[in-house]
Amino acid sequence: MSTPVVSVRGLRRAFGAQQVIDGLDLDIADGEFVAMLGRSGSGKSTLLRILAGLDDRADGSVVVPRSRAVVFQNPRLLPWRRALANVTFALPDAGPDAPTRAARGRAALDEVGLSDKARAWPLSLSGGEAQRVSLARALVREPDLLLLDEPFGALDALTRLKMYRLLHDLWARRHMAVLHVTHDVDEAILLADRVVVLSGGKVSLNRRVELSFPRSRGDEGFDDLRRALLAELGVREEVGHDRSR
Amino acid sequence: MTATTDAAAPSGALTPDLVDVIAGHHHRRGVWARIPRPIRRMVSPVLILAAWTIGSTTGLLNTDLFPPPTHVATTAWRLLTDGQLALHVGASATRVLTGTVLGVLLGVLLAVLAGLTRTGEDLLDWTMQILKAVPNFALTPLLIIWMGIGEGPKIVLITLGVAIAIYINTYAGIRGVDQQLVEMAQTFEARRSTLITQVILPGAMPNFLVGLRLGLSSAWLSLIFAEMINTTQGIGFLMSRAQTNLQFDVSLLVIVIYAIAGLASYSLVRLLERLLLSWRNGFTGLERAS
Repeated sequence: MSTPVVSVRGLRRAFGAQQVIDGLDLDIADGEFVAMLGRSGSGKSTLLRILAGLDDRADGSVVVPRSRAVVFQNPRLLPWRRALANVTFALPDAGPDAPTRAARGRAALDEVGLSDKARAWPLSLSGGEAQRVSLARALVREPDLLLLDEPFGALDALTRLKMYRLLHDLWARRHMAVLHVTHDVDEAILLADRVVVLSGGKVSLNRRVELSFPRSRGDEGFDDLRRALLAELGVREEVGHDRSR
Repeated sequence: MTATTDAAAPSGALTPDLVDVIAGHHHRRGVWARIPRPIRRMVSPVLILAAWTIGSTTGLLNTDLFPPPTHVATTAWRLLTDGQLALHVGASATRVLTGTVLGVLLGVLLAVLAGLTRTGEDLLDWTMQILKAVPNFALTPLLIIWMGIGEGPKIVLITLGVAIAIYINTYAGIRGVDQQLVEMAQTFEARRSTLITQVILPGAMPNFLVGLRLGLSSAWLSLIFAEMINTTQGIGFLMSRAQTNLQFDVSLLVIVIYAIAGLASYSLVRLLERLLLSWRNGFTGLERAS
């Protein structure tokens, strides 16, 4: 394992009397895709906000790359800027020899398959398209760490499948470190090198996903891993009970 | 008792009440709906004009006190050809324009200062809300004492009214900007100037335009008071002279000028809304009342 780009030690964060993160340790290696699972209120989003630099009222040591980008569940596009301007929003100039901001923005839109939507208004985009613009906005910065906060949570199941492939391909090509917060166990197993489960404000389970790509839900070992993760989350998957007995 | 037999029963009390929501609606687009909207907008002003004409020709209105539209039009033509109209309307328009530009700049500046930080809010917002409660025109005599009877107090009076209308609305707009977008800008380490010009101000734009609309009405209203101050130019002067000389045709003409100025201001704001808020897909009104 190469040197970690994210290194969290003894992180603590309380909201009033409630200790949401309580002595958490986490490393993410360069180029590693880590999925983070946890029940609602387990502190996943709090951790992500701390790593994103949006919350500095925590104790402990957190080292992250200077260059990082966030994709939120809600795409958070500026509705008054067209898609391309949203991608290049607050994008620093890369230097005199580098391509222009617009050219880099177009390339990023192209990467997420939206080159024809550069001039579209965000309100005219579908949920999946808006989230892809948001992804392009993160990628155009060429971050060393990509933080994803339930990015597909608001998308329909079919769009979500397409987004998995897109995200995996982007990661495979760019190979940046990714922290993907989700509550979808299958999503975590399909995408990640490693899955961590957060509970009680700590990492309660840390499991490498040994399945090789391409992965799909029927793969050998997939169900075992899912059951183990669901058990850690305190959920049983079966619905109903056998009425014949 | 299966679902199939239930669905197959076409009649009886259990049949749901079904309606066809498409059939017929296309054909019901009446004559009114087919008239272009600019023409539709002229209907009520034309009706008022017609009522006025009928009133004066039938003698229902006293033509000495309420001259017919034709008379007012003749007066307008006379004042237009001898250059008086251009002089007075020009002087008034210059005042309104100067006061509005200054008021907009001042109002936006104060709104950004108060809206962006809590310190700014503490220092500015209460004062501005109190100023809003002070009738502008109560300041008129004081302004004359402080600044004399030149253009100064007139412009200041207009500027104050516009600045307050712009401030109140823009401030509310800034505070209404989606916190999620501000956070997004922070994660991308946007500079303060980028945050203001690309997130905060565009987010407050709809409210700013409401403020501009109110500000422009207040500007023309302030103008009437401002031009009561010793002056020999401007439509306010034209009106007070007409009142002294009992020229009711000129009085009515000035009212028409105010109306046209109001319409022009309103059209300007509508145009700005179309240009600046084209990203919105807001409610544009039902085609029919029912």
